[in-house]
Amino acid sequence: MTIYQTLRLLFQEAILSDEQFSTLRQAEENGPVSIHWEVRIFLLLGITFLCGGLGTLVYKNIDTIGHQAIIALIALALAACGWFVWHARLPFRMHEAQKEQPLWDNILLLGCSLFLIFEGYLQYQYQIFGTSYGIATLIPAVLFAACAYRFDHIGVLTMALTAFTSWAGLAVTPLSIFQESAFDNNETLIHTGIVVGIVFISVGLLLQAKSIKPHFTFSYLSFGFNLVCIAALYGGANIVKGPYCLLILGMCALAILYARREQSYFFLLAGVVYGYIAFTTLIAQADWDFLGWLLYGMVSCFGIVYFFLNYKKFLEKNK
Amino acid sequence: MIVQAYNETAVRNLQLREMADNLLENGDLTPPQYEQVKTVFPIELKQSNVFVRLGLFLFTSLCIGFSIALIGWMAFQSTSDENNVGILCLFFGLSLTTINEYMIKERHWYRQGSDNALCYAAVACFVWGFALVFKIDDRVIWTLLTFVFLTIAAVRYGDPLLALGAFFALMISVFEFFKEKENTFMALTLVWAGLSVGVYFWTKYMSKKETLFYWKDCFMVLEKVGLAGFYLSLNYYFLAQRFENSFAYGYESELSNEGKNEISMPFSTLFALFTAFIPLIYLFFGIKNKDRTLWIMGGLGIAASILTYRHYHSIMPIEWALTLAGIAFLALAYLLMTYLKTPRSGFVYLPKQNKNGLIEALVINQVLQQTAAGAPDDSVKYGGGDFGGGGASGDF
Repeated sequence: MTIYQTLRLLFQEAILSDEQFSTLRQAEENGPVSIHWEVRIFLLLGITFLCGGLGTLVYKNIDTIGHQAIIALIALALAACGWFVWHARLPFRMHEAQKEQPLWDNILLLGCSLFLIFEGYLQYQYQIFGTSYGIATLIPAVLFAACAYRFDHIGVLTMALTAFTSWAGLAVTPLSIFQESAFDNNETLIHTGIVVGIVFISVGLLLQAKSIKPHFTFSYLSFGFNLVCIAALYGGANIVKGPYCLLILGMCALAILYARREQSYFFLLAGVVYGYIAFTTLIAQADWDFLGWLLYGMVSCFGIVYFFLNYKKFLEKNK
Repeated sequence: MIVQAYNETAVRNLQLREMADNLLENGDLTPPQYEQVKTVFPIELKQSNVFVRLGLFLFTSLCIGFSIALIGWMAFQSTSDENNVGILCLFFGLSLTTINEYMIKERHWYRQGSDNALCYAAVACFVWGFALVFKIDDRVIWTLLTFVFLTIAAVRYGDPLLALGAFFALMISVFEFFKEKENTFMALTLVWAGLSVGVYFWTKYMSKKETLFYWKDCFMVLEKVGLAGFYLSLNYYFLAQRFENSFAYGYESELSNEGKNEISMPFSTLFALFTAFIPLIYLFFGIKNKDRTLWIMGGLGIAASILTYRHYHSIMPIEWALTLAGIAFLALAYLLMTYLKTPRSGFVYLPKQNKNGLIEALVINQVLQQTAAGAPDDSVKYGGGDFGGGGASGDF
């Protein structure tokens, strides 16, 4: 169906007036084409390439340029980004800002990436944080979170959540464990993942209830939910099945209830998929034969398909 | 028998409603008009949210897999005669198709995930079944058979993935056909390029036909792969790779007297020129005809050509190339943003997402060109500003 066909059908059904039809048709035929997406892609590519290229350049020429010059250069770029973003800022709103220009969003992203390079460089060269890596990861977490809220940027919020997660991971884990790369039975790390995930979910729900930037809620919840489930799945696969799988099943039940309350299809799917994996892991402890597994797979998958086909009834029950 | 599996009018209404949504969002349709559209063109097809479709596809595929494994395991515990396996495969194909057709007809499924899974599985079963029953060992016939079944399915269901698969099956079967013959380097290149460009022009021609809207998505995909296929089949790097590999067969007899490394690819200059200029031609015609697909493929082609060139002659280290490319992209974006703030030669930069703002742009255009038509049409009613962003917030 072309747009012209659509317009003609609407015109034939007398939905469009004569003038409207001819104006729209003319707009379709002669109107200019918007290159919004092209420009956005150029911006993103430009920032990615520039960061990658400059990073490699610095890395390769460290002997000749001198550390202070490089640090000064990055600091300068950082300051420029900050200046641009601050001058283009919109008044703070509790809800999603109506942004007209994607350029500033991208410059903010560039600035945040540069900050990570800057901090990493300082730490690598001068050990400004010594061995207190906790502070080194907490600073970007706090800074990015502040930027995300002030400039209304979901991507930067995700960076903040990532930084926070690594801070939490570092805080609970002695560095020696990383160095010995003995991940396999590291329950502390799994528990941290679960706790941090639950913290994210709670914070997200709390902020939503207070209606502070409610469009950020989805990022908090999906990040937290995935963190909890992946950490617990790892624990379930490698340490003890029972408790971890039960935890996932509980989380999935909550996710599905949330999906029902908020009409959220993402959490419906995520809850069902994680729940199915956890449930299967749990019952795999019993000794099944091949035929049993095939039957289980067939019946369970059919059940889920049936559930998905009737999800509308499930989601709308509350209404 | 009707060729299309889905109800054609229902598909048309669905496509029309998508466009009407855009028109409403742009303010080209007033809300009362949109309500009218809703009553005149109702959506009768069952189409779920994208996450639900993903889940349906995943679990339907798993369910089909388990069912086939179960029945196959029970049936072939003692015997594994190829013929019987083939017949069983055909039986699976038939039953899956029957279920699919029933659900489409009675439950009005439309690209629900489940019907896609059923359809793909049925095609696989049919191909496998035929190959086993008729004892097809020849890879050319095997891939051709795949092509035929994928084409039939694509025509019936209008699914773009099936069309894509059919295209690849055809290309591979051509490859398999020439692989066994001698001295076919050029022939294969020409046939691949010819088929790709043929598919492109064919789909361009077909997609203009208003009655064929049912296959709109198929045409869209084929248009892109046709362009990509034409470029890639003449790309210097891929040709050189294939030429090197062709020493393994075919060329061996001719080239036995000379050393491998001294042989250069035939017409290599010509292919180098093709690699350089095909993307530019795409880009030129894309901009000239305002054809987004063409200019996107042109851009991708330029990137591929630069990479190809870098593979043979590295003029600068990668970090400098990246830095310069980054600066160039940022500069280009900035220039386009400022230069096209007002519409020029048919292009405009609109800062808002998802909005074509056709009318507004046209009005600006007309004012700028100072056409004799005078003031823009007042009868076009702009929708209120209430329909702006945030459309996705409730859909996750």
